[in-house]
Amino acid sequence: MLEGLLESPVKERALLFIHVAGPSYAREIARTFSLNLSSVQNQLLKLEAAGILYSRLRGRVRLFDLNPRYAFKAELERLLEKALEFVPEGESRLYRGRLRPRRTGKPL
Amino acid sequence: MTLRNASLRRLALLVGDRLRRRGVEAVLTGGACVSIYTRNRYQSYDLDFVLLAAQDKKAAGEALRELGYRPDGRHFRHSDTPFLVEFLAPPLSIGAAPVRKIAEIRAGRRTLRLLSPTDCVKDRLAAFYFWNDRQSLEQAVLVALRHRIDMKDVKAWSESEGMAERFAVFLRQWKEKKNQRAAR
Repeated sequence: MLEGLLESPVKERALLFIHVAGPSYAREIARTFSLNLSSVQNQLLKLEAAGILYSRLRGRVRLFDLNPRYAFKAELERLLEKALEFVPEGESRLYRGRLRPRRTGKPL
Repeated sequence: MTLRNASLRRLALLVGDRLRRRGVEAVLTGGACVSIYTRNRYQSYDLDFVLLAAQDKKAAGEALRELGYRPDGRHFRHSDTPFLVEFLAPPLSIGAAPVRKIAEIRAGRRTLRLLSPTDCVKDRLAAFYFWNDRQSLEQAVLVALRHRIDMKDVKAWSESEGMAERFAVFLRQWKEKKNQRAAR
C-alpha cells in the first residue's frame, strides 16, 4: 500500500505492526512476517533516526513505538489506519494478534 | 583548538558558529538549552542540533570533524570534552507545532541559534507530557523562573496537545516556586 511512499515493504510492515500492536521489538515483527531480523532492525533504526519512532529498553529488549513528539504523528496514524483497510485478507490476520490482557495461569 | 574545559555554552557557540559558516542551518534544542537558560542549574552533556534541511547532515558532520569531533554511532565525540553532539532530523517542532521564532545568543563574533525560553519550556513539557519525565518538568519550571515566558502560548500549545491537566501541574509548581522565591 505505502511501498511507493516508504520505499520499503519491511518499513511498511513494521510501521503498520507498531501502529496496531503498540510498543514492539524487532524480533517480534520479523517473526510475525517471516522477515530477515537485521532488515527489520535496520528499518526500525532508520525510523528512529528520523524521529518517527522512539525506543526504550525494557529489561534486555528494545521496544519501538510511534514517537508522540513526531510533528506528523496524527497524520501518519490516519494514513496507517487507511492503509490497514487495504491489507490483503491473508496478511491482515497477522495484525490481529490478541492485545487484551489474559491473567497469568489461565489456559489459552 | 583545544576544547578542554570549554563550558557547554561556549562549545555550543563554537559548534553553532562553525555550522553557520558551512552554510548549515541548525538550531540547538533539548537539555542544552535548559543548561544555557539556567546557567547550569541543570547540566546537560548533549548538544542536540535540529538540522533545518536533512541534506545538510554531511556538511554538518564535516564541520564537526574540523573541530576535532569524531563520529561514534549517531553521536559525535571529542577526546577533550565530555559534551556529545548529535544532529536530529527536521522538522524543528515541539509536538505537532512547528517552531516559528528562533532565538539567538551572541558572544563576540559567534552566534548560536537555539530555542527561545518559551519554546524551551514547551520542549521540556513535551517530555513530561509524553514520557511522564518529572526531571523535564523540573527543568521547565527552572527555565520559567528565570525568563519571561509566554504562558498563554504554552497553555494554548498544551491544550492543542490534549495536555491541559498536565499544564495545570506545571503552572502550580511554577507559581509555588515563584512565591517561595519572592518570600525569600
